[in-house]
Amino acid sequence: MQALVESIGNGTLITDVAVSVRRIAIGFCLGCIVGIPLGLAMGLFRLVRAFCDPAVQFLRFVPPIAWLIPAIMWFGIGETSKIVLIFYMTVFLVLLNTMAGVVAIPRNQVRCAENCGVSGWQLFAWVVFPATLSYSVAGARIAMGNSFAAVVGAELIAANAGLGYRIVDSSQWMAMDQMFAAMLVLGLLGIAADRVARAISARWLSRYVHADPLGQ
Amino acid sequence: MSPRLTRQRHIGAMGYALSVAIILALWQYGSSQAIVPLLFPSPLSTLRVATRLWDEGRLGIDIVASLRRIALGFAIGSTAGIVLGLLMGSYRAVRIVFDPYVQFFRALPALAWIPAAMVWLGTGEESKIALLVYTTIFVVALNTMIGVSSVPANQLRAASSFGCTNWQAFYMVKAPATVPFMVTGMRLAMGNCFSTIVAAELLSPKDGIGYLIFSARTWMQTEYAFVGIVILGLLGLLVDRVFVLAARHLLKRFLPP
Amino acid sequence: MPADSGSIEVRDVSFDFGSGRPAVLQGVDFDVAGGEFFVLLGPSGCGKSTVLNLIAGFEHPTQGTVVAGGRPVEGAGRDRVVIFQDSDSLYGWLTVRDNVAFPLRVLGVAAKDREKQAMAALKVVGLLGHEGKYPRELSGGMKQRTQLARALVLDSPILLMDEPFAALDAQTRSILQDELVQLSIAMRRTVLFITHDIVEAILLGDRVGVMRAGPASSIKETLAIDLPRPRRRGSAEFGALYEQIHQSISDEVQRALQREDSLLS
Repeated sequence: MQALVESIGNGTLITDVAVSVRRIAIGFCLGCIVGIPLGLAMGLFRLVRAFCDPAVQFLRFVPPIAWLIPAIMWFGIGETSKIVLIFYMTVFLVLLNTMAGVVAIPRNQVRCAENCGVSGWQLFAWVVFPATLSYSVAGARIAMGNSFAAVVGAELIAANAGLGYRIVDSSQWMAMDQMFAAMLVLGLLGIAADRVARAISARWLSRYVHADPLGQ
Repeated sequence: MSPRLTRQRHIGAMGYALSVAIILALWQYGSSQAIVPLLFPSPLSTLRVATRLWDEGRLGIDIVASLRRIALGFAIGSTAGIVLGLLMGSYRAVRIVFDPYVQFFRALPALAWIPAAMVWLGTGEESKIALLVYTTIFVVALNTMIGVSSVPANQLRAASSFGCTNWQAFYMVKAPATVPFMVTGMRLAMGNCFSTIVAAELLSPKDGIGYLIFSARTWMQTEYAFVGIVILGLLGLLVDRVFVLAARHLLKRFLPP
Repeated sequence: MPADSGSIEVRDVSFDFGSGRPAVLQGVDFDVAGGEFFVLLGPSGCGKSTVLNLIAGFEHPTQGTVVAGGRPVEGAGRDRVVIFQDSDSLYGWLTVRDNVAFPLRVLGVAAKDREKQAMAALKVVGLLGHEGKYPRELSGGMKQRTQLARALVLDSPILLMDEPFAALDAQTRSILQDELVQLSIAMRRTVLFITHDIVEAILLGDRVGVMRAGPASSIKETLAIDLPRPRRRGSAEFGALYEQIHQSISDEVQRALQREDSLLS
């Protein structure tokens, strides 16, 4: 507890949090921007799905941490390698969920729209996209949770700032209280991020959610 | 099977093979264009290194080491998680006591515990298995708990109208009705286990797939990392398939149609 | 509106889900005149909804032709609006008003006119005051009223109704049935109505087509219901018609059961 107050006081903890959160935010946003369109495309077009499916099915079982060593060798131990890992993980989770969302659109919703004579573009913008949104958001929420694990893993092994770095650095100096302070902050941060995501969904996205795919 | 279905399946398989071939070709071409070929190995050189490591026996050792740890940690963690989840779902008192911890520890990734585990339990097997148990237990417990609370009320009412005791209602209705949720939780946890074990083996390299990937950096041999990544993808896919198939066959009557 | 824009011709239609699979329909053949209320009645699983899907253009016949409003059916179109049995065709992210206005949005109607027409349709189905709600906040009957309003905003000559009241409780169902009778008298559009409920068929239809039990189902007989509207469920003529149709259908159900028995043994 004392260590927590101390490390907040001298600013190291705040810097560490800022460094980790920044990495997560950039990687996560880029991942959503790429993952949602790709997932929609894979859900809608058989050709895209046929081409991407083997790679996606294979890569989704490769944990981001496994790419750490190549990422470091390619991008150095700076920001880029961590952001790439988070991006990688977010893309897959968002993509797979979005694709599942496209498949799960009630058939009658599409039929009703066809009945009204929609164009392909209208069907996409007015039916497919809104009907899929709750799935994309669910994927993004899981990705957000996993982002914390990925960034900590990366910082444990190769970094010179961030919460993960603080944890491993403290343990090497046997400063266990400082280590636990960093871990406590990490856990609370994870919970807070999930709460914020949930609040945003409840406030602005509730009408898109007919059945919460997370079941929570 | 009708000839049309068989033909469709053939076309599907051919499309799959074609897609894999295109991706491998792009990979090969990409690596041949890389500025430093050392850093971006081609699929062929990855395969070459993989066969060499296999012949030396190292690859087998690493795979077995990682899988053994996962099997042990996953089994212990799942068992404990199911028990905890059932108790939390069934008894308010247990839920009130444990819920904050489960919520917090689920948010705190296992990877963050690696340094602590190594300080307390050393760099051997114990710390790695403890980390895998940690990875598994909360995900399984949480899913099981949600499962217990979503048992259809009328199934429980029917049980009580037949005069079931609380204990009978628990093991004859609640527990079996919760099986699909346990399976979901375990499948999620299995994926996370691969992530945890790689990180743990990266941090205390001795053997395992994480060690194999780590040695890429030590020897500046990116092929080692790629061999490890390909094996992780294949193993993950295989284990997930086996898990789903096993669940489908062994637990068929518990799962939704 | 020309008289035949609401006509439907189904000519010797057969249908299966891919060659090698058993036929769902075989030799279905009937006509519906413009403005007529035609009920297709049959035991569950006989392929009634498939007939509707063929007319709607969601499925295509393996053999035979379907003509609506004088033109062969090639795909879905807003001249043949469908009201589905499940209310999952309502868009969960749109309010009742926006759901009803959806077809107009597709047509490119300006937002203000859209709203006015949607509100008018909601008034017809008695949903004024609920226009700001989302589908999940509605009861089953209100959801089906919303679907009806959404169909009414388009001036389509043909309404295709696929067991729209089957999932409702008995009270709500009979209220909606009575309202539909009033509405169909007022609007004079062609209605093809699918049901497995004999009372509903007699209550609503100008004519009732009774289907055989599947597979390879077709129309067994067509009866004209020459009773003045509104029809009283308790009248003697009603009872006589009920008995007649009931006999016809239970023969079919018996045949289906016997066939299943012989398959099982």
